[in-house]
Amino acid sequence: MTAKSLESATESELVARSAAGDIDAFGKLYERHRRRVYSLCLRMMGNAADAEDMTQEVFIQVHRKIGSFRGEAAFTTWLHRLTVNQVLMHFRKRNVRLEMTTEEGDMKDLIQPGTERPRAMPIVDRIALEQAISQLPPGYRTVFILHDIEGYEHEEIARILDCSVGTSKSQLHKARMKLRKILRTEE
Amino acid sequence: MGCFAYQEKISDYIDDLLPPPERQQMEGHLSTCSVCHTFYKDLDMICEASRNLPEYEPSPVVWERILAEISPRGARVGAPAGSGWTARWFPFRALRPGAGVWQPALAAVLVFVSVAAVMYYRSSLQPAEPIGGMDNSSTPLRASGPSPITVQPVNRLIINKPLIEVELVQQRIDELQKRIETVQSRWSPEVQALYWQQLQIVDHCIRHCQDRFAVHNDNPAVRAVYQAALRAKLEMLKQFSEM
Repeated sequence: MTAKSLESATESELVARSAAGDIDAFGKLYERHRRRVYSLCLRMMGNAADAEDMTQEVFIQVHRKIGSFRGEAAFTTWLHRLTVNQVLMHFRKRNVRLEMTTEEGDMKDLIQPGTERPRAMPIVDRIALEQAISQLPPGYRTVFILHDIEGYEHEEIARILDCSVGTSKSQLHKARMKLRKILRTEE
Repeated sequence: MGCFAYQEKISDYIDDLLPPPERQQMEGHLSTCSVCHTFYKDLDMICEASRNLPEYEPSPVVWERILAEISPRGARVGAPAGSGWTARWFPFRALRPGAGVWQPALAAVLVFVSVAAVMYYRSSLQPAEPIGGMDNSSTPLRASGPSPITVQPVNRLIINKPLIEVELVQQRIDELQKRIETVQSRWSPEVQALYWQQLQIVDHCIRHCQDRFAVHNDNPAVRAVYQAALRAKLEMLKQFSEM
């Protein structure tokens, strides 16, 4: 496959060529998806070095398993599911707790009328938000990233994390509240 | 229902997961409670900002490491991004940025070529004077003894080393390659891939220089570049033979 035809190749063509051992085609798949995979790893893992290691591991796994990709789902879906699984496996190996409570307790971030100035948060700065996300406990962070950044539904998150839909919803809400608290503190 | 109960459901409200009656209740409460309304606006803003976060670029090293891991031994490997300028300036895939760890070998070749070019330039500015019918490449030194000793000017000596040097370097290369064959079974797949990749690059340079030298074998610059390419391979093999 020439460089020009690689440029215009569809995802399924690239997948088929990669499965047949075409490294140029696999390079093109990497080129198309590296940013999203790396960004997901970066947010979930919290630092660039680990995120790069994880991105490397993900694409090596993709290369090994691409022959088993049957195309029932979109390649992107398959790839991101594999990425999330790799990161979660890494957390489990490192005994990173994904339980969804914090040492502060569940009700800490709820606001009682009269205890807070009723002014809105200023416009959320992108960098501040990234920093705040990195400060979330791993369990909150994972659900928040999957739902609010990657666009997963609670049912999918529940399947991936092997928890109930209710837990996923509850985690997400707590993550958002925690972010709000961090962002307001940093004002 | 109090504020706590509403705040607990605000995320579901934002995500449009509340059944219609609860949704209406929530909207009614938000229109009257400034604290909960502020809370809702804050969370909504966080959600909105999260949907628009940028993607980040991993460093090119990541692809190099992936490539080292997945490339079959000795196989030609391609760059991930056949972007226009890399394809134009690096017609051989293995030489493109991002195609692998090509930089050290290429840098070594370029250093040798630069040194050789500078020496050749200097030699052309200071030609040896022809004395007593001797050719330009040598200067007779009249010592106190009866017979003249012919001494090569230093710069010419380096640049015009006889082809014997090529043979010696080649001999040394063969020795190192034999040594590498005995040790490379202990290398990790990553190092092995790196070795084959770098070997491919320097061999390509050498082949190119050989072709040029076959046509212009009387040109000292062409010879110097050929020698530089061989030395680059020698240096590379030395490094790998010690791993």
